[in-house]
Amino acid sequence: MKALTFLSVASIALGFMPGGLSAQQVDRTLPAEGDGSIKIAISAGAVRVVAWDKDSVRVTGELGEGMESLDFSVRGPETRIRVVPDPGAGTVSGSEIEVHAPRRSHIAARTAGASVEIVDLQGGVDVTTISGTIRISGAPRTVFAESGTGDVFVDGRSKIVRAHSVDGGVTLRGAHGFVNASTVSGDLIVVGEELWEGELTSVAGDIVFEGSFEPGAELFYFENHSGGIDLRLPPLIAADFTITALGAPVENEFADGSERVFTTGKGGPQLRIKSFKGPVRIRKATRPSG
Amino acid sequence: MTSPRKMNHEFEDRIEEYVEGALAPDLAREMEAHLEACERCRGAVDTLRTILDEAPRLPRSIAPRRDLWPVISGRLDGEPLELEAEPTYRSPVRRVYGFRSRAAPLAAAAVVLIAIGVSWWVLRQSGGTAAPGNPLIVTASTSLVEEFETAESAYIEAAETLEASYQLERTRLAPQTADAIDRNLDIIDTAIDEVRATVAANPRDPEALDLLAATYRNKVEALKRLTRISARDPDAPRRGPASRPDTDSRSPRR
Amino acid sequence: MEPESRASDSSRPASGRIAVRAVEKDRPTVPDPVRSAQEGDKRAFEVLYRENVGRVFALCLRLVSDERRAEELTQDVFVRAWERLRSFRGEAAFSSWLHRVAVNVVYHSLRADGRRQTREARAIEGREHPSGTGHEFRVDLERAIAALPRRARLVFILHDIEGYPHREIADMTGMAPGTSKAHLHRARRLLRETLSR
Repeated sequence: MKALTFLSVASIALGFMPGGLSAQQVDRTLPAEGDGSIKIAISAGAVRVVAWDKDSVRVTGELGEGMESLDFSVRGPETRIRVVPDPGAGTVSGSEIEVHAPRRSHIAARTAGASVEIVDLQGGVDVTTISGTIRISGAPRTVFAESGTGDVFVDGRSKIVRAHSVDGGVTLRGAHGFVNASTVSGDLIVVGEELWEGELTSVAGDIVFEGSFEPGAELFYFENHSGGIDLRLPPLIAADFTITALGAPVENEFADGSERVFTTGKGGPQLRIKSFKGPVRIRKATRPSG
Repeated sequence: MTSPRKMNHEFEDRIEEYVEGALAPDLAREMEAHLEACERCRGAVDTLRTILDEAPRLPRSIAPRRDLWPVISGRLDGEPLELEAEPTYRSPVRRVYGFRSRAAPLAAAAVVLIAIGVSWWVLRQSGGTAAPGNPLIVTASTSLVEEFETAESAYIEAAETLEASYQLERTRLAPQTADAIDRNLDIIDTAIDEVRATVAANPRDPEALDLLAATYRNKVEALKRLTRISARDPDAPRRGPASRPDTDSRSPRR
Repeated sequence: MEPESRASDSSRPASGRIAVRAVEKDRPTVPDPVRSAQEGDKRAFEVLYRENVGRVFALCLRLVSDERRAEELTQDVFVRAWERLRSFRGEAAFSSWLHRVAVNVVYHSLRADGRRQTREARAIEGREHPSGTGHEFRVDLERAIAALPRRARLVFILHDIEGYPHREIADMTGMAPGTSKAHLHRARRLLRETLSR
């Protein structure tokens, strides 16, 4: 990949038609480092980033109405892809962009309403959007996904996942290490194994967790206000539980329903469960998770 | 992706010693022979070597974004801190004094709210003060309640600051997005009101204080997140305040 | 282990910012800021602050992964150092002594908190890692460190980034050397699993 350094600065601006006339098709490829970073900015529409095994980045798709151009440049280890709006355009519509990126790239995407899908990347993934939906699959090393009103789906064995939505829901499958996820009104569903530290919070959405813990795991928080907390844990789990439940009904298969501080087995990770009034259910998983 | 745990455990356990050169010569030779044949272990050795090479190269010095000296200088004149002499739950609270300058009310609030949560937990672990007639109910000490009140005012200040920042950005959001977010902020405020009512009825109930602290924290976190998400993209060309970047998406959400 | 002893080493002349010309021959020609600060000179302490704040802040930032919190802890470290300054005898470089104060303050604070911080872990990445070979790996490494369980993270930072041996880590934190080793082993394994390609 370093053989490409002679091309380390390349910049291409596409689309010179005045914005607002018609949609523009784009299809451009630039050489890029195999483990560089790719920064994507697009306001509305959808962007899909798919891993491939080439040291280059390809951008295809269609710019929306009212978009002036596509800025696509590679400078050293950094690739920038930006759909530039025409400041004078009246009507705007979303752009549909697909990016093929080297598998080990680090992806940072920032959108307003555009949805983001990331497929099979192995580097870090950072996505921030105001109202777009985020879907991440594969096994990125780390995931940071944050949406204001969109849903967040992460399906893969990342070791570090942070995922938040205010109005949307968050669903994590295959979580596998450190998890920090929150919603306000959306549901928060986490299925994982060999977790080592975590924090799942909501205010009014339901929290559903099914998972197992790494030996030596430390602290897990499950906090809710009016939404439920439903934990499905390995039947033989060794852990220290602390439940704070003011007006919340508690159903507990690991101890007497009135127990608030108890230990199972030899003890282990501290599981701290807090609910104001949403029902708390702590159940034995019917199938081994992981 | 196959879990690295599925490697030959005997060799996996020795990887660290091997990389550090701490294996006995015969074991090291055995390891090398294994590495010839096992791609997964070779990968593990490479990754660990890279980690150990790169760790000392991480920046050892990072300048804070703002000058901390004025606050420190102010604190040097005050009463000496006695961190170690204090009960564990008190020390974080003291930090709020460092923010009398209103430099970072949010940080102060976050720390105090954390302290409240811990206080309750510590209290519970140590048995706390049992309420008459019910050994399961512990009550908060007067100092904990006072700390909570300090936290609460710091929180309110922090939330107001954040809410003001968010309101500035809110004009850029599409109406449906802004409405959805307002609805969620209302949900949090309702939650706060409900827990506050419980605290008002039982001002020394540490469980209620703990839950109120957690709810405050949720609001602060949600506001921080919203401010960050809706903030102007630093690279974006400046546009009028009426510009709403998240309108007319071709992919309707959900 | 302490490559940046530099001018704050009490046995060497200090940087000249607050240097006062000595009058008597049997006194050091340039009074160092540590001695002046020990005598209550806040301006001298400010010099020490400016020379050392980056290193203290970096340590705090890594240990708590929260920029605001790291700022508070950095303040606490310098306030604590000011109170303890008289106990500094100059056996080691001032920066080393200060670093130990920092570890002590942060470690006790982590124990007192017992509560997770919201770990954004974005504080260090990007702005502190210049682009170039290994850039992305270092960014990922910072993230992976931030996500480690707290004690494993503490020991990894002190041992593999800061270069302290287990015995010193044990002295600073009060954990047994064997415990420190176990945490390091765990941290390295978790990092290896996180960062394996």
